[in-house]
Amino acid sequence: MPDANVEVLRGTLDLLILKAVSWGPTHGYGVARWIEQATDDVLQIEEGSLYPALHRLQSRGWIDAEWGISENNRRARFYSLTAKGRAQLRVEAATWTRFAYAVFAALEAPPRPA
Amino acid sequence: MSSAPNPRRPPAWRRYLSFWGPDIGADVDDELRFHLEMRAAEYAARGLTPAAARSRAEQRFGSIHRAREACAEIDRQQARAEHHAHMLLALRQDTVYALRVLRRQWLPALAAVLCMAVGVSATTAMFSVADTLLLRPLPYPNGDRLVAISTTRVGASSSIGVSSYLDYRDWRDAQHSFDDMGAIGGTNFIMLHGEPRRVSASLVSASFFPTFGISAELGRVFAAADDRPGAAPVMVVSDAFARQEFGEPSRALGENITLNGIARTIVGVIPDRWRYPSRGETWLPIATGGYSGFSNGVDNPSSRGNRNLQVFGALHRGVPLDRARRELAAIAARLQHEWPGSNAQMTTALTPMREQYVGDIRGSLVAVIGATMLVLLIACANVAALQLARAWARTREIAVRAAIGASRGRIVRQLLTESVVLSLAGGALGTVLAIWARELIRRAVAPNTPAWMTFDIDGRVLLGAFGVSMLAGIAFGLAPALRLADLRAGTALRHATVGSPRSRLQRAFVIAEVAISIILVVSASLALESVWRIDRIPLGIDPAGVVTFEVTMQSARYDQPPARARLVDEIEEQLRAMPGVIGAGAADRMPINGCCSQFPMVIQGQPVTKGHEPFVTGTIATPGYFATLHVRLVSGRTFNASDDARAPNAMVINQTFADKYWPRGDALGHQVNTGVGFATIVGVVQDVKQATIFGAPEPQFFRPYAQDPWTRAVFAIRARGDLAQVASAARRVVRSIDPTMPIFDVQTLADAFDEATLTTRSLSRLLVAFAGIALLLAATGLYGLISFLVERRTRELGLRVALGAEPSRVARMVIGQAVALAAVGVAVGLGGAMLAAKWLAAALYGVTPRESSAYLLAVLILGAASLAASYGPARRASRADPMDALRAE
Repeated sequence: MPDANVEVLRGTLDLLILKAVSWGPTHGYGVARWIEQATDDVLQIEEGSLYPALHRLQSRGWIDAEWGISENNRRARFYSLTAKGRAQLRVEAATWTRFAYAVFAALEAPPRPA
Repeated sequence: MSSAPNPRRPPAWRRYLSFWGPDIGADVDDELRFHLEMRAAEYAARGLTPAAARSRAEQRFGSIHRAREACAEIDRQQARAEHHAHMLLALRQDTVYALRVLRRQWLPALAAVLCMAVGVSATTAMFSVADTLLLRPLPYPNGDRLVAISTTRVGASSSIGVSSYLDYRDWRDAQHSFDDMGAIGGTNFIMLHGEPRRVSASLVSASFFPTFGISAELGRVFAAADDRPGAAPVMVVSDAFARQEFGEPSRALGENITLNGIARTIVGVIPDRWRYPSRGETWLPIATGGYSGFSNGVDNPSSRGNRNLQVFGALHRGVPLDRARRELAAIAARLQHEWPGSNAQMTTALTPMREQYVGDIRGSLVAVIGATMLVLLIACANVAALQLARAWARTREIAVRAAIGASRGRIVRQLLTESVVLSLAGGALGTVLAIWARELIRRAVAPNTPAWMTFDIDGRVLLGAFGVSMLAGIAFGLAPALRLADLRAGTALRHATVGSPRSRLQRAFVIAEVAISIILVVSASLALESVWRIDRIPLGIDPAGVVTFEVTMQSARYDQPPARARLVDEIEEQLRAMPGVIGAGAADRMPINGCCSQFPMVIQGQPVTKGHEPFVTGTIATPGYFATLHVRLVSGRTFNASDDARAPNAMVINQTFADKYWPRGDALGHQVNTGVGFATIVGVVQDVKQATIFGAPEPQFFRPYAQDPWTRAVFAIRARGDLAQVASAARRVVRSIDPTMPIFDVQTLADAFDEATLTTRSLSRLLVAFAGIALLLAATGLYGLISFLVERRTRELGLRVALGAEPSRVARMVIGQAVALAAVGVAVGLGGAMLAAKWLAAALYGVTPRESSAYLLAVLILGAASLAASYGPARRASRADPMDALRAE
């Protein structure tokens, strides 16, 4: 399969995870799948970093973890967004959007006046 | 809620892991495995073989190992943080719960707090005293290096304490162990600066202040040039003295003060904390201070026998005390050869300065520390016993808590929290009590301590008290807590209903309390016995109703001996004429603590080698002395008015003197020379306690004041009525005869006697107080235990009564139980008491460790206490109603 995807920027992963679990409790695989699907497979996250990030967010209190039963009847760890996490998501999403617009604006700007 | 009926404990390693919460490593593995399987399933669905799908999934994931480690580390950190937060929360819950429980059972809680308070206050006070005496540095800059050097007779157990100026000078010149040596001697001076009054003055060598490391806060201390005969008369004063006389220390510098008729210039002021002696006011150089050792000229060898200076040395850093001892002993040996007349048999004794303060009181210090520890122990045992009883009463509550899932650790922690809360409350209260107890202990241990020994309760002491109460709380709360927590839920519930008290531990505590009480009661009765014996020491005089005061004839008016004799005669005569006065007399020193003019003695017809004359104590007395003090005449006569300067020299000796040299009882008429020519023995009197009241009587002679009128005279008046009024009348009498003559050291002989025996009296008071506290605590413990046992056996006792047992028999049974317990305690305690008595007897006068009366008394007291303690419960038991008993179940 062609790897025409983009590496997820550092710091963006947290934001994507928060967004992924904001739709409802899901496990790590679910998070990874959601990111792939939501970005049409453009963004492929590095799975080796996904889990430490999940645990880190949990220990910060932004997401909760609970053992549950998956859709195919397996024992899996489900993550859900906490109130604190939701607030964080709002802040980070706003920051990231501003950042993206700024970069985009710079790229679209007319050439430097001579 | 899911029940967890798992009776088997997991293996030890698993328990260790679960200490940090769930098994983190396994959980992370599960989580990652799930991910890989899901991904593999995804690939398989797209048509890969299972093996290929799996390896593809793993490839996609990256380093599984690294992810696993990272996740586990994050989780472990989080678990640790949660654990700490949880502990804090639990501690707060435990404390709140403990307070609630203690409020509900406030009476036993209060009892426990009071017990702890008693123990902690005794310990805290003791620690502050011991800290000051043993640990805190001396106030002088060179304090840790200061050594007292005194002259000692070879083979004597106690040193003379003082040395002669010439010996001091030779030691100082020859030694290499000390940075410097200084000498100091005390005298009384009459100061004219406003009202004539006596000031404390010390004669010091120029090297004295540097030896102690003392420097002046204003002006200077002495230079070598100040301490030479003929130098300008100067003085150094204390800050307190300068303030008192001049308002401001800086105004004192350069001022003149007349001391004993000589105007002296103040050249320096020293800080009060460096005073030696600790209440000293002025210091003069030896050479210009009128030191008696110089009366025949400094270098006259006759001065060498004149020993009245204290000598101190500041040891070189790094020189061991033993080396200094050997060096000075060698110098002293040389002086023995060179000056056999004065120095035969004389060597030196070196004591570190701190020892000087601690040495005398070591015995009582050890006794009091021991007693304090015992009181603390007994208090702790009581708290533990109370805790046990309280805990037993709560067996059902604890069983329920265990049944609904409280872990063993949690229950132990809860119970421990309770006892620590109790102990801390007791500790806080005890610290307040300690301030009062400290004064009691200080008086018992060290009644005459220097001013710098303040016995503060400072941060360290408070920390000590806090530590003691914490430790006591944990140590004595642990046993009951463990005992209770070990009950399996089922057994505990059964215990609570059936009531078969497994109170062995509690019994052990009560037995220990009784045993410790016995030790303290025996100690207290030994001390009381000692006081009783002290009060019956034959003093040779009758101190009741006698007041004494001192005058010193220093001015030029009394330069001639006859003038002094006339003055003393006149004062004595007028004192006798005062209303209410039965008799009056005078001597250079009064008995009881009038230490100690010693004179070399030669008996006619009994030749001795020069320098080997025996020394005897001598007193110069007027005829009225013997009658006034009620000194009993054994044979011959005492002095009368005709024993004056013109009459042949007369001498009265004491019984010990007579027995020692004339064992056949024919002392009268013999001739004795004590330095001023031969005198005839005209009488023998009963021994009088002169230097100390505790020592064995020493040979003592008396000479008529009229034949050797010293400059110092102490008058004794025996009178009816208020001695204070007699004293002020006497002051008026002396003033009417010579307005410039102050009188000082006004004191009743009874007070002097009390002062001399203060240590033993205070120690006995303290031990009695401690024994009383111990008895009270032990009786309370016994009462608590017996009540508890009776309560536990309500049903059995009720049944017995129902079946026809006589109430009195039931009561006897209960009392018998208490007495049996006490008997075991007594038996255990007697051994310890004998050991304690051995130590104590060394510090007390006139008692041996085998005073059977003390042990008998202690056993009787403990027996009575155990009867008293069991009376109430026994009454209750004998009235047990079978119906009540049955209903109680």
